[in-house]
Amino acid sequence: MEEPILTVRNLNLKFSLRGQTLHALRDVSLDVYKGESLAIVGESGSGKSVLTKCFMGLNDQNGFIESGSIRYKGEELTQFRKESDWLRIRGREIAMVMQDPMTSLNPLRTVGAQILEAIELHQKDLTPAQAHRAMLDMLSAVGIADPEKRSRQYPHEFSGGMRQRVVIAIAIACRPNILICDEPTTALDVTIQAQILALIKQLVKERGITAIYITHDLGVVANVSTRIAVMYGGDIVEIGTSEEIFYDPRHPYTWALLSSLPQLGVKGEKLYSIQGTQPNLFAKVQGDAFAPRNPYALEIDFVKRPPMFEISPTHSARTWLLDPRSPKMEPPQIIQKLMRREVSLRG
Amino acid sequence: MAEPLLQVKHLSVVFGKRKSAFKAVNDVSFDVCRGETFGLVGESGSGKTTIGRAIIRVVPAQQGEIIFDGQRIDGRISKELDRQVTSRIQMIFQDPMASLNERAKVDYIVSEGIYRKYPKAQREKLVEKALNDVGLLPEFASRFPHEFSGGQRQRIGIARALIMQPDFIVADEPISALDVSIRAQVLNLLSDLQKARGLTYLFISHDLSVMRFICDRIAVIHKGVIVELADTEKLFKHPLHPYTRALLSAVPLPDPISEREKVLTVYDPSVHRYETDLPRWTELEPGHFVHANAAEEAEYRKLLEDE
Repeated sequence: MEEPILTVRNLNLKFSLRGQTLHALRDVSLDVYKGESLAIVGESGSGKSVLTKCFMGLNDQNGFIESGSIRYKGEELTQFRKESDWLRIRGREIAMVMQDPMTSLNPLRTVGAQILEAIELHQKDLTPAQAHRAMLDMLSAVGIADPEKRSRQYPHEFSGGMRQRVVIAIAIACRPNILICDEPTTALDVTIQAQILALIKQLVKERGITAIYITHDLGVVANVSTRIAVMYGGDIVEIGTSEEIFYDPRHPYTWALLSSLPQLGVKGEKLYSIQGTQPNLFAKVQGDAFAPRNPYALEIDFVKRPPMFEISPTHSARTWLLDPRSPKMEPPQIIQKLMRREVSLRG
Repeated sequence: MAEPLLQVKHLSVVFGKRKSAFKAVNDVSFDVCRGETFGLVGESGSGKTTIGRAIIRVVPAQQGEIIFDGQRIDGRISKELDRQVTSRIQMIFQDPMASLNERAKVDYIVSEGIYRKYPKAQREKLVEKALNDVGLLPEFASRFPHEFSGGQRQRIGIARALIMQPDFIVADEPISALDVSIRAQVLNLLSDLQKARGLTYLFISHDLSVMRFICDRIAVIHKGVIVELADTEKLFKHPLHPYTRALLSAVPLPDPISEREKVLTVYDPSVHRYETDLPRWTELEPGHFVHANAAEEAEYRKLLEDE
C-alpha cells in the first residue's frame, strides 16, 4: 500500500472538566492513505469528532494531548502551540464540512462572498476578476444552477441541501489535501443525502482529495467509503476495507452496530438494540470498553484490554474473540445474512 | 380490513392569503385503521407534517373533512369534543432537544396535560407509571431535561403523550434526530406500546428504511399530493410512481458492492403529461392506490401484470 498521508500513533487526549479528567481518546493509532475515502463510524460520544478535530487543532481549550503523535507531511501536529501554525493547516491542507448547513454559514453575507473569502485567502495570486470567476466555477462544480444569480443570494434563500452544497464549495475552494466531512448529511432528507454523498464522492475523485467521513450510520457509508474504522469509547475497535467490515465483521460492537440498522430488520420482530450505556470515560476503563454491553464477552474482556488482532493486512479488530485460545463464536443471524449478501429492501 | 379510526377526506391546507397563498396539502384522502401503523413518507416541504398538524387541530383545514372515530373534528367543534380529541390524539415530536421545556422538571412536563384533572398525589402516581412504561426510572421525575441523553428525552416525550391515555398517536419523525443504536430502542418501545395498548400510529418520516420496518401501510407524499399508497410489502415490491422509485433508490443499503453499482434515480416531475389528460387517484389493485392519468394507469397496470 501507499505511504500514509497522515499518521496517528498512540494518541491520548483528555479533557479537564470541573476538576475531573475525561479520557476522550484512548491510545488511538490510525493511518490515512492518500486518495482513500475513510469512514470513521461510532455512536455519539465515541470520540470520532474529537479525533478529527485534533487534525485541525479545533478541540476546546480544556482538551490536551497527553501523549502520542500526529504526523502530517513531516510535521508533528501535536507540537503546534500557536494559532499561526494551525492557520497553515486549516483550510489549505485539511478542510472540514460540518454537520449542520443551517449553522455553518454566515447569515449576514451573501453565499458568493463567503466562497470568495476562502478563495482569496488561499490563492493570493489571483486578480479580483479571476477570483470571482473561480467562485462561480466552484458554485457550478457543486451543482448549483445559475451561479451568477445564486452567488448574490443569502443563505436563508437556499434549501438545506443547497446550503450543504455551498459549505462543500467553501471547503473545496481551499484546495485541501484532506477533506473531513463530519456527519455531512445527518440534517438532510434521504433523497438529498444520496445526492450530497454522490457529489462529495465525485469531487473527491476528480480532485484527488483524501476524504474522511464521520458518521454514526453504517448504512450511509457503504456507498462512499473505501475503508471503515469503527470507534467505541475513545478507541478504534475494528478497521478494514468496506467489504471486510460489511461482509466479514469480527468485533461484537461492529456486529451490534450493523444489527441495529433498520434496513436489516425483519418486520414484526424486534430490532436489535445495544443494551446498557456507553462507558464512563471519566473513570478508568478496565479491559475491553464494550464488554459490559457485549453478549459475547469473555471473562478476560473485563480484565485485560485486547490487542489489535490482524485478520488480513488491511483488516484488524480489537477483541479477544480473535485470540486462537478463545472459543469459536458464530456471529448473529443477521450478520450472517449480510455476509451472504442477502440484503435487499424488497425482501 | 378493520374499521377506520381516522378518515381524512379531500383535505387541503393553505397557508397565506390570496396572492401569497401556498397550498401545502392538496386534496389528500386516506384512512387509518384501528391498531395499525400508517406511514406518511416524503421530503421536507412535502406537507407530511402539515397533515399531522391538521389532524391534531393545530393548523386549520381549508377544505375537506377529518373524521375521528365517527365524528368530524376539523373546523368548529364543541368544547366537549375538543377536550376529548386533545386527550385521545397525541403527538410525539421530532427533536427531543427542542420539544421539552428546558425550565420545567420532568414531573411537570409529563403531567402537564392532566395537571388540572387530578390531585397531586394521583398525578405523581400517573407520572411514575408513565415513566415506568417508557423504561425510565421514577426518580427521573425531579430532574430537568438537560440531564438526559437524546434517547431518554425522546422517551420523556413519549411518556408525556402516553399519560393522556390516547388511542391515536401522531409520531412526527420521532427518531430522525437520534443515533442509530438509540433509534432501535425507540422503535422497539413504540411497537411494544402499540401491542400492549392497541395504539394506532400515524408515523411521519422521510426515511423509507425505517418505515419498512414499522409501518403496515405507507402513503408517499410529494408536494402536498399523495402519489402512491399501498401495503408496505407491496410498495417495496412493486413501486409504481416514479417518485416512489426515486425515494426507494435513495435508501442506503449496508452492502458496499451493490451500493457502488447503484444508479440513483432522480425524480423529474416533467415526465408527467398532465396538460390534457388529468391525473386522478385510482386503485390499481386492492389496497394499492396511485396518482396517475389514464396513460400512466395503463402503463402501471402492465408493469403489475409483468411482475
